[in-house]
Amino acid sequence: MLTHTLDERKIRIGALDTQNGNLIELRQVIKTFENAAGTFTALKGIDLQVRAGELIAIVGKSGSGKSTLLNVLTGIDRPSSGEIWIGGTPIHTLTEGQIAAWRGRNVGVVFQFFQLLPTLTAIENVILPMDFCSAIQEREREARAKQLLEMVGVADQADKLPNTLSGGQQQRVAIARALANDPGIIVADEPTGNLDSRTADDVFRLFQNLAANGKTVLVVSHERDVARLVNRTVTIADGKIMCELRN
Amino acid sequence: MLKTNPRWKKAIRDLVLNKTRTLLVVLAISIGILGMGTVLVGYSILTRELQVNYVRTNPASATLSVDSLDRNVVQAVQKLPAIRDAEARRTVRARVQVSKNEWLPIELFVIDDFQNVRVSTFSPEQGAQVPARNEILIERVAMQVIKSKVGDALTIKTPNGAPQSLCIAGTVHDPGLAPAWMEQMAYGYITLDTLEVLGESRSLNELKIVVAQDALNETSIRKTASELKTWLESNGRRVTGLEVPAPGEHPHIRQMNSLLFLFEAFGVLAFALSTILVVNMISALLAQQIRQIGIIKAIGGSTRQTMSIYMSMVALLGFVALVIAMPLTIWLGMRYADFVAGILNFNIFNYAIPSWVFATLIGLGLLAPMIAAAYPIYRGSQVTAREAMSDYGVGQGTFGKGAFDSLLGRLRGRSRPLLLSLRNTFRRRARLVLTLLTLAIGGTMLIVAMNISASIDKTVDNTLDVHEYDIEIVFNRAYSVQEIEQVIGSAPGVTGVETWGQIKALPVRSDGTNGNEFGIIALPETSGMFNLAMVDGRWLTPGDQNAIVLNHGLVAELEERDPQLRIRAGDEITLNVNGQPLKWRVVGIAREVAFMPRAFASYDYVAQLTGQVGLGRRIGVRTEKHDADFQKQVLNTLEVRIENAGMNVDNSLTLAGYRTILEGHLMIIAAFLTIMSILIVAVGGLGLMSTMSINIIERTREIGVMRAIGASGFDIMRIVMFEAVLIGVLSWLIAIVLAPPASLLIGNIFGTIFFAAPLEFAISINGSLLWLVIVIVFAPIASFLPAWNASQLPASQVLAYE
Repeated sequence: MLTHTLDERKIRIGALDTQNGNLIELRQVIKTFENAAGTFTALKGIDLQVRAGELIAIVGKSGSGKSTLLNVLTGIDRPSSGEIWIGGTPIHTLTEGQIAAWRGRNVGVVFQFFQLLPTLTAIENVILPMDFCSAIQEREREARAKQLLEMVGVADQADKLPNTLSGGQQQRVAIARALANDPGIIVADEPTGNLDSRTADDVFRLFQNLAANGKTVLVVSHERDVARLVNRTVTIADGKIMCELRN
Repeated sequence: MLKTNPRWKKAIRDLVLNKTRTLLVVLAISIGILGMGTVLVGYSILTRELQVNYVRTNPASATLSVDSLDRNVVQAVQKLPAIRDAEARRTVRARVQVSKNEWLPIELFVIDDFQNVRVSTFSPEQGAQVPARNEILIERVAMQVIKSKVGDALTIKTPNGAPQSLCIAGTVHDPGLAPAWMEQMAYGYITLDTLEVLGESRSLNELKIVVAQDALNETSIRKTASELKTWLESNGRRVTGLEVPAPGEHPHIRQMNSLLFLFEAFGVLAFALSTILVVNMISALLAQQIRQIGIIKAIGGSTRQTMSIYMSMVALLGFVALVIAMPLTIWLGMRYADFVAGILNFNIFNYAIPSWVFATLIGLGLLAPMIAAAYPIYRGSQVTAREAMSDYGVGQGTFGKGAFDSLLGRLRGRSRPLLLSLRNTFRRRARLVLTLLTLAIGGTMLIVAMNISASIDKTVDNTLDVHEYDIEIVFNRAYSVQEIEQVIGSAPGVTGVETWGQIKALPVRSDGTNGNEFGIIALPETSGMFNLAMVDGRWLTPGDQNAIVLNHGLVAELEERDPQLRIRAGDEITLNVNGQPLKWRVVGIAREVAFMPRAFASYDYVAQLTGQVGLGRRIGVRTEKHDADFQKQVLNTLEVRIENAGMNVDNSLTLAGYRTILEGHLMIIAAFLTIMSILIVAVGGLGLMSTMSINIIERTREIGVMRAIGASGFDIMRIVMFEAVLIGVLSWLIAIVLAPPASLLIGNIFGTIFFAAPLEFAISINGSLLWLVIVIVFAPIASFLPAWNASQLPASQVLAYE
């Protein structure tokens, strides 16, 4: 169970500019894939606005386009057309190199299978994004990583290699890593898909805490019952937003 | 077959899908086949053709030195039942002028009837086939040594004549002789008329015979020659010498074979290492395709069927490599044969490559990679459908669970990307070991090649250092020691002179026959010009009587030609000197590398024995300076003084000049070793490139994760390239540990081939530094392409990678 909450005194929350009060704004985003079978449109003109501090679930069936939406949101993938403004930055205009640097500072990504680097210890996995982005002073990195691990409840596992940790512990380390450069936005792709229900609840509680402390959190899930845990649920099907529900 | 068999289709498509890796492996196997095949093709042509050349000359089974021979005696010998053919010749050791005051030794073969040469034949190449009076034919390679051309005039001086000018009427090819460049002497062919012109008596004194039976049995030949000697002596002739060459063998065939064997070992090594790359590649492919294997198993594929897919893949790789490498291998093998034939002065009449060579190359090219890959394929195909299908994402595998991983996990550093490189290096340890093996062996061989060069230098240095004189002169007969020392000792630039006696001796073999002639140098008790290291026993001491010290080359030759014989210090041997058998006590065996097989004895004892007290035939001269130019300058002065004093020189050499010749020839061989080692290094480099490419493919998703958490393309490249440098540096560490014992071993083989003694052991610091520079410079280059590709992959693509 998560026993720690985000401590404002210790962890600085990064701030992004907003546009029309929206931290994230997607305008008529279309994503088309070309393959041998022809053209496949995964996103068909998505419009979405997200305010700072929101905890949003993007739900949909497998193949609905929700992971593609997440990828274009984080700059991992590029839209075929349309605009994506995040914190005042038109990320659809950035180069691959600019996006990597931008993402490192502004977006924390949590993956379904944790995707910790197996040859780095838990704490080293958390420090790695700080090394890449240099947003945090070098002398502060280790202390900050320890605080983040403490926050997610795995400080005692700091010097262990990922393969010696349980799935839940690995996902907490992955969340700590996502927070390493104090990004304003956290996106999580099926973060609980590989966890038992109790651990999954703990992880969601952590996301709630992050949102409560000003982070904007977007969670992709195929489980509709996450709706009860978030501020807003965006349902996507066949590349289109079908409905948006607020709690 | 390819149209219908999905197994082959999958194999081909998988190989095409991984183009870079496939290309690297094919290239590596091709280089392996090229290295091994070139030497093999060359070997098959050379061994056959050298023998063909030699046998075509109808080499003499034995040569007897007889005081005088006429046609009647020769015809009588020809009729003896034990003799198939006999021919009279004369060999005169003379000198040829190659520039003002510079003379080289020349062996003049005096032929009675040039139209009817049947034993130890030679073939005309250019110009006249029969030299007229005042004309000479020169062996083709000797033309380069004396820097002349057909039509030029040559000044030749025989032991008993004044210098005479002869016209070079033509050239001949005599493959039965040791190449002139090796011996640094010339070979000339003249008639009896010309011999007379040169101031020598018109007579023949060598009887060359070909035995009728057991022509390849040395003992039998010696027996026949001994019987002939008795027959000649009973007919009033005096036989002063007997020379039996190794029957049916070119003088240098053993050296050539040993050397080719050494090169072949390098080629085989390159090929063996290339097969390791196949293992690496196929292991990685299996790891990458674990889900596909699961699917194959799930739809009913058996382990055997799964294995056959991947074995087909390896067979295809071998086949493609063979197709690429074979034509080049054959071409290079032929050129290699040309090169060696050129060095050893024989012609290649037939370039046909025996079918066993093709069979070996095809067999090895196809089978060796399959055998090497069989185990990883078997192990990979054993995985169950459930295990295979449950494979996903980053962090799979076992890293972190072993003690070594924990140890690596405890390593700390300020840079996580560099820690990542460091630990990633040890992540796939089996692959790392194989990569290190190829790279380290490549490095080892490169360092070995350079160490061998250093060893050659050191050996030549030591060899010349233990001869504490600068110039050696041999006179055509014995002169007064007092007179010699007066003429030489007062010459400018000379700081010391020592006169030695010289006699010829014939060893009496264990079967009672005489062995081949060698020289004994008779040294005064006060001699300070030889400081040879003793292999066994001691050097000469004052008061020694019948004591003899043999150099190791003589011991090796005596033992090789007489398998019953084992010579140790303290043994007694019998030598025929001036026709008298005498017992000698071997007091020591001295190491004298790169010098003729010879022996040393006390001057006083030998002078009394031969009745030449106060006379000497050989001198050692010390000069003020020791560089080649100064030694040559002093020698030129001495030649003039000797001539003015009415003495005749048979042969002379400066030690610095000898060093240049010696090193020049040995360095060609060392350069070959370097070329072969570069092939191995190339395979090692491809191995590193292939490993880095495999590592990146396996870690594609990890790279995606790093990109997702903010890593730039530069960060990714840095991580990959640093890992490659780490592997390179590790390989360097291993290579510098392996290189000394390997150098010792190869130096021993190399030295034994050329000097009948191991090379002096030497370490080339430059070799180790060169390999370090190579790995530091080339490891990043070898990993650049895969690293660049990795850095350019869009994050979405790598995260979606399976």
